[in-house]
Parts: sequence; structure tokens; C-alpha cells
Amino acid sequence: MSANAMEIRDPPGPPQTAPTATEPLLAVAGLRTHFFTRYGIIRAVDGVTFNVGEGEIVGLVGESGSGKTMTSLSILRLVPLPAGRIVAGSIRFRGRDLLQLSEAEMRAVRGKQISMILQDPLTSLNPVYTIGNQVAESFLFHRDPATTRRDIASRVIEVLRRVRIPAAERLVRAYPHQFSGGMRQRVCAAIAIASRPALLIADEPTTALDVTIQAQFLQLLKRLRSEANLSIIYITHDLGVVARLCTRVIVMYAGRVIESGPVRAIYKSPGHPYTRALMKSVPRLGDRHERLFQIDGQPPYLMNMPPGCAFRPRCPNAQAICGQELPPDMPLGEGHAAACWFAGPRPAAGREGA
Amino acid sequence: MPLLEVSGLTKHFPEPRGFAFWRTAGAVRAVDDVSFAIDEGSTFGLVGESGCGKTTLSRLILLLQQPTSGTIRFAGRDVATLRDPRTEYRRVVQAVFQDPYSSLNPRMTIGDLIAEPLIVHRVLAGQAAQRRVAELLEFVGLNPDTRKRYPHEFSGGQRQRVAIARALAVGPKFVVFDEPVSALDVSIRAQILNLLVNIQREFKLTYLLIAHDLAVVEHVSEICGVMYLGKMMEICPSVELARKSMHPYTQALIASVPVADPDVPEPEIVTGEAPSPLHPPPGCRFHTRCRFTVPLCRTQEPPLREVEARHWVACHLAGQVGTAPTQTAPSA
Repeated sequence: MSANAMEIRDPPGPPQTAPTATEPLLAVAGLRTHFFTRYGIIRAVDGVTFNVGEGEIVGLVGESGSGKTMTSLSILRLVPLPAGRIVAGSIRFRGRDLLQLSEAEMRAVRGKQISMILQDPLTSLNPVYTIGNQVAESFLFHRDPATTRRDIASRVIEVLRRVRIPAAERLVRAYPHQFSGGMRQRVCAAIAIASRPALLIADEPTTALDVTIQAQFLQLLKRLRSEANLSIIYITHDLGVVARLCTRVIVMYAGRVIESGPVRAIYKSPGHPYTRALMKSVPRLGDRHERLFQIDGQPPYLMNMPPGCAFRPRCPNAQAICGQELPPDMPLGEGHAAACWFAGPRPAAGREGA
Repeated sequence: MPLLEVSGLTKHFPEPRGFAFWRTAGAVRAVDDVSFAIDEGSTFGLVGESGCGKTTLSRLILLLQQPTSGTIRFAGRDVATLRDPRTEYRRVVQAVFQDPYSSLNPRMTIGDLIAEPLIVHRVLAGQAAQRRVAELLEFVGLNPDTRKRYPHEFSGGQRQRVAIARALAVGPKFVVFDEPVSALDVSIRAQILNLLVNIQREFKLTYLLIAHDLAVVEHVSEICGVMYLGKMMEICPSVELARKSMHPYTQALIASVPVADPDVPEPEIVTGEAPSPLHPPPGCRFHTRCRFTVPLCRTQEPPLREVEARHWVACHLAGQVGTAPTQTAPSA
């Protein structure tokens, strides 16, 4: 059994068969996922540490290339081969380090205990199989031998009802193209929760949806979380979605976590200049300005990372030390920390207009 | 005086029945009896969800598609009467599209891409064209030395700057922006939106800005229109959008936009999905999802009428149902 294997690996500490109250559901520590290319090493994830507690919805925020998707793929050990490799760190899930598991053990975790919803529901569903078939696949793959075909059929309908698909008995025979975008994403959610996972990773699941449909889908996720005590890692660049959905936020920039904390703390008193600038640069409805606040420059190219803080070239408060040493996580309050030498309330990076 | 005036514009796409494509079963009414005007030097923002007809409307204005009926008047002239090949109209009306990855030819250098419209429209050639390219690159915030490089060497935001320079090259009067920032990163969006405002002032341009992001439209445009299933539901000054919108659909749309503030309570959201534009519901097209539906809404289509000064609404109950949306963003 895996529990025994784990005790052999971790002899010190209290004897444990289940995660203790103090241990979070998922604890990622010092994770580094690098890509080894002809032209050099791309440090897509470079020393990422964070926890996800039971029943928490954690928002992983960042721009394209900040490493948020690679972090989630690393958790599932689905980093693209052969270039990508997890070179350091640990990912403890329910008391076991996922990076130490064999591929067979990992397959029992993937899709069963940790599942994923992707951005584009059309490409993540197979066009030639019925919806019912694709949901049933999850039950068939992680089956315990006692289940019969009839059991599975009724469980497929039950899980489709849980994601609020109307007339589920009839629609199990439908194909993905017969569904709208919002309904397809519900089917993806049904597949993801079919095996009653403890952790769901949602990678920009509403980016392809219209706002009214997005609002409905966010409501569904919240309901699933409270019904099933599901923990969710929600990857997005939309600060509005995070504010509506998440309990905690992790802000990533150039492969590193630059700030993390409870959602209120991040929005009300952001500590990192990048977070502050990001909050200010988003146009808000009902708050019309002549000019938008803008962050100049661009995110760094991951192959040629500047030494020290990755945000330094765009930061207005940068000092000499920022270009020399990587800033440590500065504690700012209960569970709130920012990786900046001068973390704290200061003017945001950027300027009003151009 | 309006630079662009659209009245009763309609575009139906026939739906083929079965294999016999010449027999039609009905029509997708992509744009249905839409009227509005854009004043010279101002920006008209067009919002709506996917499939509402906003892109078809822009394609009609760009003369990329023939309208089924209705007229488009540009600078007082009906564009249908323009003599082919309409080169002059195509010079003064330019467009910037959503995806700067597919709108730039990957085999042409940045300099050639920007010079191409100059040569096609015989505006400038040779050294003069090259000087103009350098000026334009500088104006959109790119180093003129980048003209020898190819699109793949640029980020999304930089490519969108190239697309903007290309549209500006031939000295347009009117520019259509179809989702110009939705493919860009959050920190880059503000840069491009500010650039659009700068360009408008500098060259005294008139804009049609299409976006699904209400906040973007509110910030950049003076007047905005909201479309649903091919119909214009509301036209109002952008400053009134968030707090004084009157159409229940506009209000539902605003309530659905998540506010970047964890203290704002979750508003009541609209249920159901938009019906197929092939079979739009009778009466008001929004009545199947509307909270305020009365029997009249199911049978009679409400006309777009001016309920207040410069505020048009296509709703039987406009002015009667709650005008304040359930959620308003707090002012900073």
C-alpha cells in the first residue's frame, strides 16, 4: 500500500495514515520546472511554493508565460517531454510526495484524486463519442471491480445532474457539437468531478465563454466546492473572477510567486509593486477615467532573466539591491507575503496615461 | 454631423436545407434592422456576446459583405452608390482585428507590412514610403530599426502596434477596431487602449470599437450600443452605462461582469442561454431570459426609442423597471 511506502520514506514525524490537521491538502515547495532547449534553459517555474487547504479555492493569477499553467501541469506530472523536466522541489498531496511516485501510482492519482478542466471545452472533448460515453470513461478507468454497467449508467446521469445539465437522461446520447460552449464546459466539469476528486485544477475554464455564461459557471464551481468539499486551484488572469470566486490568491510573475495571501488582503493592501500596478491597470465599470493606468515595458524573456527581482526593469521603486539579489518573501500579515525588498504600501508601478 | 450613419441595416444569411443548398430553410438574422450614427471625432463602442452580430455589422460597414437591406451613409453619401472599385472608401476606412498573430503575413517584414497599404493606395513609394514607415513605427511606440524584422519576433502587444501602424499608414478618417485588446495580456491592454486614445486625438479619427468587455468600451468610447441576437437593445452615453442603463439585458450583462473587489456581493445573475439566431423568439428577443417579462414582450417587438435625451432603449418597460443595476462598481 502506498501508506506504508510513505512511512518508509518519511520515518521521522508522527505516524500518519491520513494527512494531519496541520498538513494542507496540497503543499508545493521549491518547485522548479525547466525546459532544456537548443538555445538554452527556460525556467518556466522557478522556485514556487504554496499550499492549498481543504475546501479552499486558490486563484493562481499571472500573465501568459508567468508559469501558472506549467505549475499546474507539474502537479499532475504532465510536463511536456522531452524538453520539460521538474528539476527540484516537492509536491506533497495528502501526505505523499507526488514526485516520488511511480508512473503507475501517479495514474491512480491523476483524474481520480486530482482532476483538471481546461480552457477550451471543444478541444478537450472527443467529437466522435457521446457525452455519456466520455463521462463514463472516468468511471471505467478508475473502476472498482464490483461496479456494473448499469451502475455506471446511473452514475453518469447523476454526475451530469450535479453540474446542472437539464434533461441529462436524454443528453447522455448527444455529441459535443450539439452543445453550446457553456454546456460543453459543464460536461468537462462533470468528467472532472465524476471520480469525486479532492482537488480540481481549472485552467482558465471561462475564458472562452460569454460573461453571462461565465457567471453561471462560477456559481456552479462554488456550489460544487461546498457540496463536495472540493479544493480548487483556479488559474486565470481575470482579477474580477478571482475576487468573486477565490478565498486565497497566488500572483505569479516570470515563473515565481511574487505575492500570496487571503483574497481581501491582496485586493485591499497589495504588497508587491506588480500586484498594485495590475490592480490599477484593469479598467473597472462605473469608474471611467480619461486615461488608463498603464504598466510600461513587457514581462521578461524567460531565457534571459535579469538577475535579482524579475520585475525590476518595470518597477519604479527599484533600488540597487533589486538588481543583485532575489527578494525573499516578506511577511505582511496573516498568511500574506510578497517577494519584494520594499514590500508594503507604496505607489504602484506604472503611470497615468502615456 | 455624423461621419457614419447606419439605418435599418439588415443582413440575413440563408440557411441551406439538407444537401440541396439552393433550397433554403430560413435565415440567420445576424443583423436585423440596426440604426445608429457616429459623430466625427468620437468613438462608438459596440458590446454584445458571441453571436450577437457585432462582427457582421462591422463587416457590412467595411463593405466586406453586402447588406440584405438598409443603408450606410459615410460623410453624407450612401456607400451603395459608390463607384466600384471603391478604392477611396477603402483608404479612409481602415480596420484593426482581434488576433495580431493571424492578421500579419508571417513572410513579410514589419516595414513591408506597413508600407504595403501605402503602395496599394499609391499614397507614397520608395524613400518617402520608408520615411513614413519609420514615423509610424515611432508613433505607435516601436523602434524604427525593427522594420527589418518579422512578426514572429514580436510579442502580441507589439504585433497589435504594427497592425495599428498599418491601419494608420494611408491616413484614414474612420477605423474599425474589432476586439483589439482581447487577445492581449492584462498589463499590455492598458498600453494599447491608451495608444488608441492618443492616436484619435492626434489624427482626429472616428472609431467604431467592438468589444465584449464592457469596461473597455466604457473607458474608450463616448457612446455605446448593446446588441443581442442581431438587434440593438440600447444606445447610451458610455458614462451612463454602469449606473443608468435601462435595458434588462444591459443590466444582466453588467451584473455578470465580475468586479475586482472581494467585498462586492454576488449579484443576481441571468439564467439560461441565448436562443439560436436561426429561430429568434417572437416579440422581444430577450424575453426568454428577462426577469421583467410581461405578456406584451412575447408578442410585440419593442422598437428602439429615445427614452431620455441621447439614450435609446428597445424595451416596452424602459423607464418603468428598475433602472439601477443590482451591482455597481464602487468608485475608487
